[in-house]
Amino acid sequence: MPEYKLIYFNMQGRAELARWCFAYGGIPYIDDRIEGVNWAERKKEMPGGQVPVLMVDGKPLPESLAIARYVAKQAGLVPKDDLEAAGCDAIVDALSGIMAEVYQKVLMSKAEPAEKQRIMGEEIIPNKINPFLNRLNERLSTREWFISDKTTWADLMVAYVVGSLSAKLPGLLKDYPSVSKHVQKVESLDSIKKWISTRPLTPI
Amino acid sequence: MPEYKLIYFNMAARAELARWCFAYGGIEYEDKRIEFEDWPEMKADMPGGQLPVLMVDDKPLPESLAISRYIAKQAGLVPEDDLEAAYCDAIVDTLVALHMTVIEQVMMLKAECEEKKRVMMEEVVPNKINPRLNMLNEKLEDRDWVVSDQTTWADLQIGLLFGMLSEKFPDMLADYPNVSAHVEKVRALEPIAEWISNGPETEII
Repeated sequence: MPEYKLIYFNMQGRAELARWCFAYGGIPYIDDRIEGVNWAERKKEMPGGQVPVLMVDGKPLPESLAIARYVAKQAGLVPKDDLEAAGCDAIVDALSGIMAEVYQKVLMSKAEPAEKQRIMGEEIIPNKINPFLNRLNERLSTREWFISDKTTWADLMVAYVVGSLSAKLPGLLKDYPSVSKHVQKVESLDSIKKWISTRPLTPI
Repeated sequence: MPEYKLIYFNMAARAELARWCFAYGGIEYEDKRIEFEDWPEMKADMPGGQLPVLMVDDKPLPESLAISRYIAKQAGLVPEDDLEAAYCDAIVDTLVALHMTVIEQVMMLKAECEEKKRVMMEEVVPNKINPRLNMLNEKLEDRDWVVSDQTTWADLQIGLLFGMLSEKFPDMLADYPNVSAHVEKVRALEPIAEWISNGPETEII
């Protein structure tokens, strides 16, 4: 097995999906978290000056979703069927877009709290999040897992992003009971539960 | 083989990579281009209310990169090795983000043409585009293809993006001869050259 080192900031953000996949697959890796003060120095080593980067036997792989998809494959979380794999990609991409918008316009924005609340409540939730939750909810009303008949990285991504959002916004899932149950189901998987309870505590 | 219908607007933007993959693989599909005025009516039927969508035997697949990666696989443009496939993913993700930066920070800027050009040449090119061109130029120094020893969808994306950008900004690749040569090589591949010359003319990149 290759030696893995996942390099990112000390937060969940764009590295967490890969960390969940590592946990699910029981794959050992170094979880290298860069402190703010050291970033200027370490930035120079990173291809494109960005993180996360996954070192695979000392060779860098950038781009959070390329990393997560690769680790997901090692962990058996990507379907063999091309179209099912594409279905996972589509769910992950959509959620990644939602997460990026929430981070940029709310969580890491320098706007006033009232403005952040307004953006979240009047724009992002009704226009982006709720329509997506609605589709997820419908899909899950007749299935156990989002794609194919087993756990995929799409299930993990839903639990991570939607779980994080609903922890910050109680009531977010009240109209989407199937999604709520699904988040809980994934969070209760032994490997995921263990990771969530032992990972470094960070606000985001 | 499934029946494919790719639904998008009449532009390159988020669907062209998939169209190039279809062309490369010689895979038949319906290239459905809708007019902006017809979009509001269709929006409700599209998962996520967005385009492009790929209909595969009438089942919808949204998200441009999920679509492109799927077609790339059908066309033999994705390496079998997981890590090589991941390097392709990373290059495509990086270049698509660059494309979106150009669209959002320049093309869609509510300003005069002169200002748009200034933003492009003084901000986006030196700060965002050139670092990536530099990285690709180095990578392509001793290689025929950017990942592994075969053509991949990452090569197509290089040919697509920098081909389009260098048409609008002619000196863009002057300092990056390996990239320039690679763009020409990809665009000269028979099925790609055929698509470029015979495909619908679109203004909007």
